[in-house]
Amino acid sequence: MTDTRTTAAHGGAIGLHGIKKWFGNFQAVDNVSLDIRSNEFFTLLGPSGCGKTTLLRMIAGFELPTEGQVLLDGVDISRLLPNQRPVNTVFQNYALFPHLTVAENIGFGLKMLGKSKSEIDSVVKDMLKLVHLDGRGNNPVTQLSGGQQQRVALARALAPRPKVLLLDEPLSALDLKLRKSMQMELKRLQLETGITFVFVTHDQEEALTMSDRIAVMSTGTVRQVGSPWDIYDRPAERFVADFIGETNFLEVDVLSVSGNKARVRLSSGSEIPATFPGDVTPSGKVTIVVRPEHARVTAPAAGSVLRGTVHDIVYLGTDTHLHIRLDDGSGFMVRQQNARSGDCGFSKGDSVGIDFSDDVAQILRD
Amino acid sequence: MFSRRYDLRSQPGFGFITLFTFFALYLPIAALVIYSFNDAESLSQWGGFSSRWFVAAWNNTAVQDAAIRSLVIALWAALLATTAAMMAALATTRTQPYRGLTFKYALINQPLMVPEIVTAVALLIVFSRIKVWTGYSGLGYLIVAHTAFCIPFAYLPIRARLESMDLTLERAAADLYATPWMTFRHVTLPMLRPAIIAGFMLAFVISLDDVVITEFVKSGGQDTLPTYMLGQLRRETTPEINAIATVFLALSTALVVVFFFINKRKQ
Repeated sequence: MTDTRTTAAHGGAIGLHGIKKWFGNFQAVDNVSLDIRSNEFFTLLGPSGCGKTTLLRMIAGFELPTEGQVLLDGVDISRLLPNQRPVNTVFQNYALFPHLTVAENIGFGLKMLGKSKSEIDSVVKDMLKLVHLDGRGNNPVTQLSGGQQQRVALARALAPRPKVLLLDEPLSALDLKLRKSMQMELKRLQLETGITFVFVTHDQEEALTMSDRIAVMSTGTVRQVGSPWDIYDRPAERFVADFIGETNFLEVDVLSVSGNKARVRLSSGSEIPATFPGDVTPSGKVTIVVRPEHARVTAPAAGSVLRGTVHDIVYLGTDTHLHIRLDDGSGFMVRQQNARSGDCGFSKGDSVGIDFSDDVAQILRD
Repeated sequence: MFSRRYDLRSQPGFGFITLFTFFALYLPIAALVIYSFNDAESLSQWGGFSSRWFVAAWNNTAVQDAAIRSLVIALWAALLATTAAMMAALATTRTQPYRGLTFKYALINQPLMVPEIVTAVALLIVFSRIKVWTGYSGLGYLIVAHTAFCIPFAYLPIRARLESMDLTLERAAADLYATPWMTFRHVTLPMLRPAIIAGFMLAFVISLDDVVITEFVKSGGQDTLPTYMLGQLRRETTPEINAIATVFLALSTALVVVFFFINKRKQ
């Protein structure tokens, strides 16, 4: 199987062109166009009902797009049946065949493709090793734990060497510890096999941890596509900023624009630089976002970007969250890492100043 | 305390009702079995133990004939009914619900609701016409008639199984390069097997047991075991009839037991 691994090192590239999907009167996907690159770990991230699973099913062939095309390596596969697509799925509930053993489950795809018994046996053996289930081939799948079933589902989907592996929230049924280790495992498998992974999740942390690129979706549309860093530090719009992590929104006035930087004035009168998405030129009143860990609480000083009073302090072990009531009445949260034990240096009611790290403010599109 | 008070077994009259039910169900059967070993010619006067009526029944060519005919009809009817029921169950569960689906359920289960005597008379009239037109008067009519009323019995367990089956499994098979036929062959059918066997056995027993429709539809010399026994009751009866019934009972019980163990082994 090692020889085929080299040929499979080219995962397939998926092109979604103008995809629309209606279920009766409900539009699940609204004009989505995406290019998923070969060999990449691509995540569709969004709340439930955003259309991410429908999109995945259209790549798998379980649903047909009402409009638009699904391309695999440039070839239109929109109308092919699921069994005609070199694409395999890891299902949310695993969907293992309960009447078959672990090995029979893993070998199912190859058997359907008419491979010889000896080839199936050797691939199954490799797959069992790959997912650390050596020697469990003859077990009934019904006797495995959730984590083991998950591994069998992965091995079953990987065994026929698909060009693209689709994963539909495969970790959601696992407990936290197992989920963490499976995240690492998935990333390892993706690198080792070179297969393009398309991963669907509503868990932003999962997405940030594993993905090469993320598409954030909401109400059937793609809001932003980018690396985890882009999505987290440079959210283009309020939905993305709000959905990924915690954040502070501030209303500001744009003073001047040069390149992809603008100079903005906060309600406190302070002026700071802010970055904006490439496709807009900000003017007038706009919203900026500042992540809680990109701000510092200090003693009040004339040079502070913002000023306010400490409203609440929440101790979270590794961090402390300081909830500040700004002078204009709005709230602001600062996340401070707990470098030393004991108190954070402030107490409720203290007058404080807030400073930003350089270049952390991001102007939103809407 | 709480559970004890609401335990069905502690309700007043529970013991009596249980005993009564068991007696009502099994006492006549026990009497029938006991008298099948009666040495005397009477159905009510005990004349000592003997298995001579079993030997007599076994050697009675009319009984042999009727028994073989019953088995042939039941096998064919169960086979055809199970096949039809499986296709009907697939068609009614592997689809988006639509208007008229409930009507179809009712249509498939119609033999459960229409009085058997009505079906019997209707079949008699239709088949007698066909007999005149075609000149054919073989077992085919009985097999067709039995198949028809066996379908709902085979349909119900298969449909129940299909409804509780995870549809993602079939989707997973399709995802793993199985054509629709291969999906059916390698996933749906193996998972349905216990329900299909249950449906088949139910249909088989129901066909074996039928009197009313058979009595109306059969041509001369086409007695099945139940209609033969009915015919015997009109004449002087001997414990031979008990012996036949006892074998009949043993056969049905054996079927149920076999099915039970097949199912148990699967799990």
